[in-house]
Amino acid sequence: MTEHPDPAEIEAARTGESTPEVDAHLADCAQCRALRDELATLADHLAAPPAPPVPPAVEEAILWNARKEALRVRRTATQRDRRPTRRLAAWAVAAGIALALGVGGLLRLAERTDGRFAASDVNRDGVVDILDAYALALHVEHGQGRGADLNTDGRVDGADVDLAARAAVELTRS
Amino acid sequence: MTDDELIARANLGEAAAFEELYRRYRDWVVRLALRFTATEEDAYDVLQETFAYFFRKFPGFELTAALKTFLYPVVKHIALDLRRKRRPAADVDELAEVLPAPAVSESASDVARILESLPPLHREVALLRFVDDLSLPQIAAALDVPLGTVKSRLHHAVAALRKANRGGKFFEAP
Repeated sequence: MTEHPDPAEIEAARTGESTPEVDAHLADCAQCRALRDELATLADHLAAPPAPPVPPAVEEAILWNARKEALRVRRTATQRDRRPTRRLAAWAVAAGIALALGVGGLLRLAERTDGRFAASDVNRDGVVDILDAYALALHVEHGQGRGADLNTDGRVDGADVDLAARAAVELTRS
Repeated sequence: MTDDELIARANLGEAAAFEELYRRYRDWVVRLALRFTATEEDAYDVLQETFAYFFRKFPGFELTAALKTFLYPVVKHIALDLRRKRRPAADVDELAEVLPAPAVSESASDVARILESLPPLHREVALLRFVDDLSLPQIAAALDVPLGTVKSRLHHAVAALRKANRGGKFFEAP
């Protein structure tokens, strides 16, 4: 670098934000080093003074609000955690009902079904049933086990769970 | 504990993390607010509003840069809004022109007077740089302007300061 760097670049160098080119120039240029030292002195002059103390009433109001907002965040997280649990519980109940009904015809071998139902055998136990919907719900809500993009929309989500459940129900009725 | 860690804990609803974030940035916010407000009372109102706004961002707040770059426009907006309410006839540009001298130490009063004489946009960058110790990219993020714009404004600010310093007295070690 033959020309002097912009003063903004030299100021950046003061705090180690410069480029290798500016650093190399500074190493060779006493004039620019002097400017950098001037700027360092300026920064020392302008060092922030202590802030005035915050009145206790203001401080207490802000801290009270902090605690209130923290509680709101915890409640939000709790509600969020509960939702999938409720959904999973619903799937578990559905599975229980299906099994309690003694639907012997429910459990069909996956290889006896067409390709769509084979894909619905999410838990790979050789049969397509409501437990596949439950397994898929576990994957969607908690990332457990394997997922299956049954509706081929590029996402594994609740719509796939519904599809798995419908597939199981269709088998039950057939 | 880093800001990132505190924010992660605040996202979980830990009250202690909220309180620590407040205590960590309280003085800086007050000093900053005093740049834009006429009185300490107004600065404390800005302090309360700023943290109320910040805390409402949880859960889900993600820190993509230094926290000061998030807080700076919040403080500035709230403070200027408050000034506008105090003086309904004034617009923001006019208010920016009449900002008081930056709160700096007594020994720096000469430099402060020079800073006060700078155009508002140049003064703002100079204060963020020399008083608040923000890096150039952080200033760009705080002001939502390109890095080149920050360098240009800093260039003009430094040039004005050096011109005023022809006698050399302002850049002597404090």
